Amino acid sequence: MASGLRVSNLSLKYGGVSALCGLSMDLAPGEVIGLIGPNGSGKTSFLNLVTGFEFPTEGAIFFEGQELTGKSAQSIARKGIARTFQNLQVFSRLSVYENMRAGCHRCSKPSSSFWQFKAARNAEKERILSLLDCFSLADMALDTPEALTLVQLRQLDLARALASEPKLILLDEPAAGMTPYETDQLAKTLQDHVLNGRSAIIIEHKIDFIAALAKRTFVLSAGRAIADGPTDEVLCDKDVRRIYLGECG
Amino acid sequence: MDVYTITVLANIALFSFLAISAWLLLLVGEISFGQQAYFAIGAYTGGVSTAVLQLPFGIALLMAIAAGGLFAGLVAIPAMRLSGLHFSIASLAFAELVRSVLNVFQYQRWVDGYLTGPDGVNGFRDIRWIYDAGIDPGTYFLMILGCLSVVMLGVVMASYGRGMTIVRSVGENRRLAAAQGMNATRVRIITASVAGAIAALGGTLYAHMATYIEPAQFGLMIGVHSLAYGLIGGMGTVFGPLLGVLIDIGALETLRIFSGYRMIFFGGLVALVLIMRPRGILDEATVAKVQRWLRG
Repeated sequence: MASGLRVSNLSLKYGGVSALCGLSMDLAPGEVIGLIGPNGSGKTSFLNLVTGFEFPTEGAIFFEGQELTGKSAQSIARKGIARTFQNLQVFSRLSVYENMRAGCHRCSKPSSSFWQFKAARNAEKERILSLLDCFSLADMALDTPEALTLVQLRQLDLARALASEPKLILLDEPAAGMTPYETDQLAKTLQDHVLNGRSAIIIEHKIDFIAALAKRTFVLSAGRAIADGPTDEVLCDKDVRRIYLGECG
Repeated sequence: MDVYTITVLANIALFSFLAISAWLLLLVGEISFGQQAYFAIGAYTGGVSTAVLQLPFGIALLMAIAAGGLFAGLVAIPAMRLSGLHFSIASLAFAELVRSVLNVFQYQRWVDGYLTGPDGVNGFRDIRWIYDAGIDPGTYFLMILGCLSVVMLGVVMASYGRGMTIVRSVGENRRLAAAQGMNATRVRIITASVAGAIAALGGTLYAHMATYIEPAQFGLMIGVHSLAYGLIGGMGTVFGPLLGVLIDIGALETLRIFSGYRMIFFGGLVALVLIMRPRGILDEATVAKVQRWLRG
């Protein structure tokens, strides 16, 4: 059965501290989920577990029917799961173009002849330039990331994740540090170029951003799921508004 | 060109192999003080192949490359579990181990009335293939240059493909590289193996030019210099380590004004460059600027 991501009873402990506790989630192919919760609720830990950067204390993770639990980060990336990072991570010594080439690594195939290699390289170049164009970075392809603004760096992080043509993309606070205008622009870019039929989990503190992109929202608090359902309903939930949005009464 | 000039240029070319070898490991994020071990392995393997086993020079080159690559790969498998200072110390320990083994390694045979082959601490005499084959110093220099060009072309081709991007990605941020589907351990082992093969190629060419080699020639200082060449010349391009060799051997060692003070100037230069340009003269940013300028 072609299924998306399935997480069952996932727990993560750092010594005596529980970062995640018995979390279960199903993500259908093409579905976009917003993952919200207060700081320290385990959102990034969840992404780290799915992408193999950390290993769960208990529970299992499946993607397209294959178990990912205990697999290394690179083997999970090769299965078509890409991610961005809350703490911006780019290859600062590589040019913007080379950062994108690094992102293309997952979907590269060995060539049997020089001409096939050249054709693949040209196709890759076109794809990279088209992606950079989507994020208004094409003019900066030969620059190193130190010449980029924070917003452009976030866009590069996103564009690089997309370069691998992922089936599932995990975005960890992609709009952090952006102005409302920039956030709106990013939401539009995501809608047009990233989320068209692709599964995604988006972590973000900007509720309007989540509401614009995700039909379903999952709420974490202290490592436990406290709500899961249609975004508009979840955002009206009394407990969610009290715990996450800080509303009284 | 007179023989002295040819010898200086040949030395620059020969040490470039070692410099490129150490530079590759710097790119993948490791500081190796031990690339001279593979230079020595190449020198002895190549020397034994032509002088003792009487094999053709081309086969000797291939055997040296294979031996250097194989040893470097085998050493890298456990060594790449280490990183940073621990890896550096391990690389140095291996180089000293190789030198100690060569100090007691004996494999001498009578060939055409000469007793030839490695004789432990007394060294390895009569690696005289270039003289037996009637190759003059100028021609041999061109052969060295040809081999160096092939190595550099290989690095340029790896940049044209995705090879160097992968190496640099792993060298800068293994976690992020893993998120792109790169197997950092495999990349580091392959890079170490290629670096070992390049050093061994330089070693065998050196042995045939020098005709006499001994374990003492492959000491720590060669390793430190080969590392410094990449640091001075720059990490942004394969021409960086060559620039480093050119500055040290081409200028400091050759020019008489530095006579007796070479190491003082060299040490000072390394310190100065590391303070002012931590990634070397031809660093990544400079190379990016040049590329932008070349593309208009």
